[in-house]
Amino acid sequence: MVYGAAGAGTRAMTSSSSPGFSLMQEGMSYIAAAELPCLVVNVTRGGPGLGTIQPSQGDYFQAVKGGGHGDYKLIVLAPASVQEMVDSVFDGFRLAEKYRNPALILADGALGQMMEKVELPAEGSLPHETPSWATTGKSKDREQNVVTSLFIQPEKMEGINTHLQAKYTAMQSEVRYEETMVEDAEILVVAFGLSARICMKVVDLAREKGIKLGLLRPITLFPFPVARLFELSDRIKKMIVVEMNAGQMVEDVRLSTNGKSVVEFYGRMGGMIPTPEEILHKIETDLI
Amino acid sequence: MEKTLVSPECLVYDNHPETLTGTPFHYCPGCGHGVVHKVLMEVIGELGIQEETIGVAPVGCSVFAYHYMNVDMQEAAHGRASAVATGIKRVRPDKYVFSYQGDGDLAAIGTAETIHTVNRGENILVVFVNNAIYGMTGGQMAPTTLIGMKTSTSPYGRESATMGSPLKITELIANLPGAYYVARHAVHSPKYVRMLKKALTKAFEYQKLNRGTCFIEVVSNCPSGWKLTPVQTVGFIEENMLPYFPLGEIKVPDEKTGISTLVKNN
Repeated sequence: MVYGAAGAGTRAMTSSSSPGFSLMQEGMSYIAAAELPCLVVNVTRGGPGLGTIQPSQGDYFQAVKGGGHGDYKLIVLAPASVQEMVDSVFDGFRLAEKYRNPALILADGALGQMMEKVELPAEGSLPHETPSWATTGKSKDREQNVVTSLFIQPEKMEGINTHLQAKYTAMQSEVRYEETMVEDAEILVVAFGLSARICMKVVDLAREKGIKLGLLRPITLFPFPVARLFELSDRIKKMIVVEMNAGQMVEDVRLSTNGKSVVEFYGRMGGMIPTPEEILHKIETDLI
Repeated sequence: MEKTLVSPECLVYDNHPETLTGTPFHYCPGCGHGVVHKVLMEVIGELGIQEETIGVAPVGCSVFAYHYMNVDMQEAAHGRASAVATGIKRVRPDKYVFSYQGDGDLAAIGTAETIHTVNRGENILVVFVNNAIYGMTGGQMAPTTLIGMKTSTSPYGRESATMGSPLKITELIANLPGAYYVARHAVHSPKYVRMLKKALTKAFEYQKLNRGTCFIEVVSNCPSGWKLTPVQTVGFIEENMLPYFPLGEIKVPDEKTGISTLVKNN
């Protein structure tokens, strides 16, 4: 339905939680290939399988590596507060429409149920026009519009792929991240979403103990802050990635730093939320 | 001097309505798809709704329907055409929206979408081309394959004990309150083609009323999949398909009250 509505030129979004989003992967692949802008929210729960309804970040790979079949990427936003959840909706549509690409908000079960004060963007702050490619009815003055992901000739299909990859490369200019006390940091925590919010407390606790800990929180998971992490790894030789999964984003951090820093990992799985104290204990034990 | 063998008005292949692009069909000789395409597009042309019609193409032999149908179209994932059509109609309620689907698409992988689209009474037209086989992928057994029919995945013939019975999905959805107009037609003889054309015209006119889903099954053929000549498929339809999939209106609305009821004997 999102495919149809987006293809007809309107703003369309849907939301689900892990198993439901797995079911949607067929559609995500088609939407990405047909270059339809839309927004999807995955409020992640613990898996695999039917799993649990507790918060998790176990769908990171599915979100940033594609998820469905074929070479495609979603624009992935990882909010860490209710205000950012609101902002991500607007940001998500803005980016989706700019790049004609599906955007995903990757939240978790805790963020999804959290209540916080928010400020809504001004009404009309995100104007929308019906795009010229949309199926709105073929008027006499134009050729038919077709929304499709079928390009049977391999030469044509490779061309489509090349175009998509160029688009994903161009998206690197949209990288968003937030840094906390990174200037003098000797150890860097990298975490997103709820984990990053917990790690803000870890930075406070560490600083009280005189440990020079900083935090880098990617806000866009795709595009990923590859260049910034590569740059920081010149100076900061010890990093730790904290996630609510078995270690997924840590692979991207290791790729970004390309062996220049030691990159440790701490994670809880299956719906368990790590405490600041246990994270700090891990840092004190393994990185100092 | 060039010799004219056939007068131009008799050139069937060059005498298409404006609502067809004129691209030659890729379908096998004798296949019913071309006829269904042409009739559907003739109706759209005659009703003057080409500019207001958005179609959804399926997966299967008619996956390239948009190469031939000269209206705005979207290509859906296998089985999802009625869901895509729902999305279009919901955001463009002033347009005419149709999905064009085969039996593998509509009655197997898309069963859930089909039933729920009709159950919601989405104000769209579903054109369901039933040739009792998966034609494009090499003639495998479909939900509508007849008992005893040999296909590449039922080489000894379909038997109900292990493969179930041919699914009469049209009768099934006709029972849903959201179904407004349901009929089954065929394209293997001019008489039936004319009947189909009338039904399609009605269905588009009903869409203006916003009263529910119009669903038209077309019993068609697949010479390549059935391993029969085009002429032999006509006999097969008459002798085997029509006794199981009887033609006619299945659910019709009362013109005055707008209430739709099942036609007796169906």
